[in-house]
Amino acid sequence: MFRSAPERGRWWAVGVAGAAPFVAVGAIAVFLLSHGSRALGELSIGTLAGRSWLPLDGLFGLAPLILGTLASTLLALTLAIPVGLATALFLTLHAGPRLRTAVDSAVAVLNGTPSVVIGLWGLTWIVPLVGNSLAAAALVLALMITPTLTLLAGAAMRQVPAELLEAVRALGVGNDVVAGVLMRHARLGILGAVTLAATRGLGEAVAVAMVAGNVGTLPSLFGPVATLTTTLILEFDSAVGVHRSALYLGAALVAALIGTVSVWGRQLQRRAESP
Amino acid sequence: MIRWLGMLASLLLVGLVLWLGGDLAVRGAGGFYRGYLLDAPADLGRAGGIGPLLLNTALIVSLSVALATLVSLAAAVLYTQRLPVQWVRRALHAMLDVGVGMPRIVWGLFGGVFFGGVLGFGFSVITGVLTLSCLLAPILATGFIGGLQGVDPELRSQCEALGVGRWTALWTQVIPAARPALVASIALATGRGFGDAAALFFTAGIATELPTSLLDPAATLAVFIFNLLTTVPGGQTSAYSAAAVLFAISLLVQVGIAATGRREALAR
Repeated sequence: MFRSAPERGRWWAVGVAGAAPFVAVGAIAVFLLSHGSRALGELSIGTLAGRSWLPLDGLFGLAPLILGTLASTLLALTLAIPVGLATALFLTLHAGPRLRTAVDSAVAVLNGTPSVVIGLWGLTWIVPLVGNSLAAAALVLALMITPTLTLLAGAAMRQVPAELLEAVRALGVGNDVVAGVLMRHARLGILGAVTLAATRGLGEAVAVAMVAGNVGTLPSLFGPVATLTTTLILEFDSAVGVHRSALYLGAALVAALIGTVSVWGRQLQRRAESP
Repeated sequence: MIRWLGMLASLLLVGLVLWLGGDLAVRGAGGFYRGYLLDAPADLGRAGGIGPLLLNTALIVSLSVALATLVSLAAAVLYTQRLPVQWVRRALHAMLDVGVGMPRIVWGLFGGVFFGGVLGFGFSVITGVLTLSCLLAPILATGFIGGLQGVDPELRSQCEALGVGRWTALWTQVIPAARPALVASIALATGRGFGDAAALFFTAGIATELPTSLLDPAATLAVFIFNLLTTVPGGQTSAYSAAAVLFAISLLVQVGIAATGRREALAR
């Protein structure tokens, strides 16, 4: 291939600039690995395995934070999955184009609403009902991840060929059977949607910190709860010594958890897209 | 059965959006007055306007989106035009997936420690911009790659057949053909930037004044609201007014995304 010297220079510039996003992801991985492993050296396993995270008492048990993160996201998913899938099915199978655009727009607005705004709404409407609690955290998270799930599941369902659904309908079966066939065909895309919604829930700090109560004891539904990410945003700035190390370990843990789930989710989606 | 449940669920979501918007409008209206969008906040944010915060937000978000767009477009061009090796592409895409999923607060810690501490920029506009760019770059690169891959591959071979160089073909044919998808990704990233509080809290800081240089701290609107709600007693009332403005901005961004006609493709 014939290429002039200035053109080669331009491609080099693109190469250097284009490496930046990958360098950023590599750098944050190195950052978490190095700080996380150093923390493992500074804190004993006994401390980290404790049942409480109470930094003022020198207790750095990670179990309450991990359980808080998992419990709030799983509870949010149990609300988000039925609502999100039912909406996506309705929009795909039964709504006319105008209604679909209207509902889609509303869902997209909710999806794009900043976490501080959702958190404020939760503080005003949810906390008075259920207190600063795991339940409040789960409800606020559900409000954040349901639109994500709805949009992604809807996109997956619209990939299913219309002729297939026509053929099923021609058999004279009811709407529920058609919906079942649609779900079965879009199942990988739906699973991808659920995992991506889950990563959004696992990583949310701002909205949850406003309503969860943030006490690092083992979670109960109507008791205050702390998660890995809420603890980071509320404590990191003032933490020193082993407290800071333990927080780095928490950051590495939540990143590893989400990294695993999101790579898996994307792979499922890609597999669903390729014929 | 499913049909009625689906209709109910759709109604629920639409109702929630109306509830959220209505609640913000009603409660936020109490703090509005002529000049609210221009005045500086007073009494730790419990009174006054949000003028400096709007400017800070515009400054930090526009610089971050510009920087992230530049490097992400380069990354997407490399990925789609110059990387024929399958396993390298897979590994790089997995890195982007990890970056997209990385919680904002973890980007915030990283930015605060690395740009703020190691590089010595402290709590500042520049620390915030670099951190937010890191957060947005994987999102943008993923969107740009999708956009460039959506361009008919024939286009490139046609250019080659006509003796048009790769570089010229890229800038005069491929990128213009992908423009709607690229613009939609940028709009999406802009929305994320406006709404971000977690990544900027530890990096750009919580100062409510206008910065005099890029090394001064500057709170964005979202960080201001978060700080009002978590550290300022009695800040909830004025937080509502600021949140109503932030919600209006996110609505505008959504209208922009819808106008590109690419909302469907972005849902992946």
